[in-house]
Amino acid sequence: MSYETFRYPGLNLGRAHPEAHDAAETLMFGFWVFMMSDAILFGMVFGTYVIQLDATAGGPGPRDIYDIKSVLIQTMLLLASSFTFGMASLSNKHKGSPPRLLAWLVVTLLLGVGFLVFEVRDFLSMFDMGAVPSRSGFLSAFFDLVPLHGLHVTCACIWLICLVGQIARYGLDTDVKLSVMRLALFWHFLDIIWIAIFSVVYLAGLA
Amino acid sequence: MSEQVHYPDEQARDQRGESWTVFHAAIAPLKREEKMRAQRREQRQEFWSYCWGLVLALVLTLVPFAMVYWAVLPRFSLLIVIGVFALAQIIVHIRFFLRIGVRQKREDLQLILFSALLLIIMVAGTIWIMFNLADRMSMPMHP
Repeated sequence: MSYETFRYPGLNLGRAHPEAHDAAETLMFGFWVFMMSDAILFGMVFGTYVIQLDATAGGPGPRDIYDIKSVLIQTMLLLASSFTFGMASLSNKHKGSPPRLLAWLVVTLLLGVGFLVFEVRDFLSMFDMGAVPSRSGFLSAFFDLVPLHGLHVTCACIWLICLVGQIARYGLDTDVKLSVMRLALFWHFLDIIWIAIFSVVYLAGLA
Repeated sequence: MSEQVHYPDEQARDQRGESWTVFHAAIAPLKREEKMRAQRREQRQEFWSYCWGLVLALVLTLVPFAMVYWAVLPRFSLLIVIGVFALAQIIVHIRFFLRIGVRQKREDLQLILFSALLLIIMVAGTIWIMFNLADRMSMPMHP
């Protein structure tokens, strides 16, 4: 009975909720396997992006279409949402009080939606400049990589909305707790993918 | 896990007698109190761990951003700095947000290391082969 070791990725429930702690081990490992396969998918898309960097075919390149300030705002929104999801995980683990957990989840959802709004605005202004996916190999690769992350964030937001509904309907039972923990993993994982996009696509593109 | 004391068997319980049961009943509230205190300590530690993660991630984001924004270094050095800061921030997120540590269960760590190995082979291999190919076909690419 060692609470000291981390038995699965994410915030371990430990003695705060022993039954769910035992049930979590298999579920979280399975979800972690899925996330690692997702990471490999992203890795390959990153590889594609890097080898297409020079293939602008005379069209707009990174310096013409990236809006560094908007990207910084998106980064901050995602980082803040990762922190607020951490706070949600804490209220999920300790003293299950649904109102506080719900409040943190709703804040996280708003930050996630804010991120998506800024991202879509960026894409629309790129389209206005004539930077559409069919323009060049570089733009195809860009619109393969960054919206793929946006799609993941959209799915995570939909999952979050479902979760809020489940908490309102069923309260904090073991299944709901485990679902919150898996979404927490997914959310933090998407933030890690964003670090890679922020660095490889935006910062390196403008350096 | 459970609050009660589990005796090896009924016979042993009889030998220890009534005073043993009374003793445990007496210290039960103390044990509960100790458990609560441990839980509050754990909660505080976890809260500060998330705060540390946030602060470190902010620093590791803003420093390379500022360096690119004001172009303080030549391009090649900037790329190296961006790469180092990105790797550091990924490790910070894995440690403080995904909460994966050195005392992780072995399967989890093996999965991470195996995935990292696959990523390195596939991504670095793709980039290497494609750039080498472009070079041999005299179509230089400059990312």
